[in-house]
Amino acid sequence: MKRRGFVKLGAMSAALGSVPAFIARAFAQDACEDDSTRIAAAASAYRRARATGRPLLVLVVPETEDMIAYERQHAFGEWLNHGGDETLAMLALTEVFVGRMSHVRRVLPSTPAEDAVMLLVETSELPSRVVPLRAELPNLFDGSPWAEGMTWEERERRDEARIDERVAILTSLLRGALVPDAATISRRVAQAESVRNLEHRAAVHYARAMASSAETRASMLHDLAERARERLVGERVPGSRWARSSGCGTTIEGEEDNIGVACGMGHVPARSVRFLYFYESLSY
Amino acid sequence: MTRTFATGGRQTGMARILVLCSLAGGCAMTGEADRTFVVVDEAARNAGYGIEIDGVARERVLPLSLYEAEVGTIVGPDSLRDVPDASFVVVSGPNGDVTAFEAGEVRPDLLFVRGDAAAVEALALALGADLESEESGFLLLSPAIWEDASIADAVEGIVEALPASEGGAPMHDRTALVETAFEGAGVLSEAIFDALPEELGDLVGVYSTPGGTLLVNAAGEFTVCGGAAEIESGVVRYESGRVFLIDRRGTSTVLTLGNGGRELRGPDGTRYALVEGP
Repeated sequence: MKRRGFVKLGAMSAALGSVPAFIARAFAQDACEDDSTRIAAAASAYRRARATGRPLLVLVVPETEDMIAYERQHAFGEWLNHGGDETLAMLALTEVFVGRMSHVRRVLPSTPAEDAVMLLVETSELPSRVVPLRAELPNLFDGSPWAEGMTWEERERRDEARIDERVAILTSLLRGALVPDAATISRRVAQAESVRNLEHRAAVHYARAMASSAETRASMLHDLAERARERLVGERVPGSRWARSSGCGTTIEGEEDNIGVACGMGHVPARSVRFLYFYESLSY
Repeated sequence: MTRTFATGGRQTGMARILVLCSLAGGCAMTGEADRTFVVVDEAARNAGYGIEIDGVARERVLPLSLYEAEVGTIVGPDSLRDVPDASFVVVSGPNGDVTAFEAGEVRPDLLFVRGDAAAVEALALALGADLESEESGFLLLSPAIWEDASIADAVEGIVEALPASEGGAPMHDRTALVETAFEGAGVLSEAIFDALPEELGDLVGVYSTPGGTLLVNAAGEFTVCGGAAEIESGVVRYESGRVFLIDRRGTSTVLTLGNGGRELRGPDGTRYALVEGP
């Protein structure tokens, strides 16, 4: 039914001048739960995405701080740092945020309960649709290659293959949800063109690139990728911090007071050294 | 064709509500726990259904007001039933079906009326209500329309008076609730919105004062958090720069946008600043 302004304002106008009693009750109590900061971070990311005419891509922090989280923060680091132009060009079309699904769900109630590697939030719609991107990522740090009798070279080859596979899986997930076909790209363009800031119109450039010859396309995608690298690799990804670890101790970029933590992971492949520290109290 | 006009002149309903608001520290629009409004639709009346209060038959098209101390009975051709304990009760159809609505389910300031136009206009004038004509009837709008209608003199030519949904549809039964239903005690259904205004997306965020937070989510819902506990929730509406928080009891609180959309301001001047995430 088409609503009328008369109807909408009717009940509400009666409340003009009323005291917001429940708000007063709430704010008379103690400070809100600690998670409010993280929920606010998710909400801010959503607002930024809308303001820039982009979908929101959530790199999901697992709810448990275990090896899954450890592996995933390295997988995201490999992807962003070494994903190549095609991946980074797609990422230029999105607002990226790193966070837990439980926090995102408070902002976007349709967020599913089951864990996903990433979420793509369609911010042009209200209520916004949340698309979970799920896949099994191969682990890099499980098992004991030395105990299994691998040589150093064999382990390096195995690690490099797994990193390649993780990057490919993440890129495939993103492509399938973000730019699966011409119609979806057109929709991205329309949303991008709805904002006034030309800098944010990556979707427009992406669509032009995809319609160009191979050589021109590569050049245009490279330009887009460079813009994404500047934002996502050169700076902190909202909700996380960049960190480095070579297997013994972690250095968080931008932190003066980095304290070495327990060793134990041993060798870290070169492409995995820089990773997305999940900005939580991971016990490594 | 829709036609709207304000009759003006009668401010007692609004005045009464504001007094109640200031006394109670809040503004419960209607549906106080000690009061039930009852209506019997035309089909049910034609089938012989009516209401008795404390054993006295009350033949009335307009709403009846039933207080907690009073005994309400739905009297049918061959049945007697208690009026359920609810804010609004509708007896409808040839079988006298009884539907109970709580305060948050029914627009407290709207009454859907069917009858001839002259009679309805006379009723609107008597109640000091705004009037809008619909295809199937009329909508009367006034802050205390239910209470005012329950004590108004009968007007010949009025056929039926019913609750109205958020969108103004007459509500005989729960099938009309899809627009306004609060589902259980948890998250509200997204189905209550046929379309969320685009501006609601710009309100999404956590707003804070030193003692707590107000979260507006992307489904048009709000949550108030005090301490570690969620203490209130409901739906958000937006209209011309004003933000309406409607809690589960149907209480509306109006806030205004300030500071370029980075804060909400309460009617008492309190500022709820948008919390920017790290």
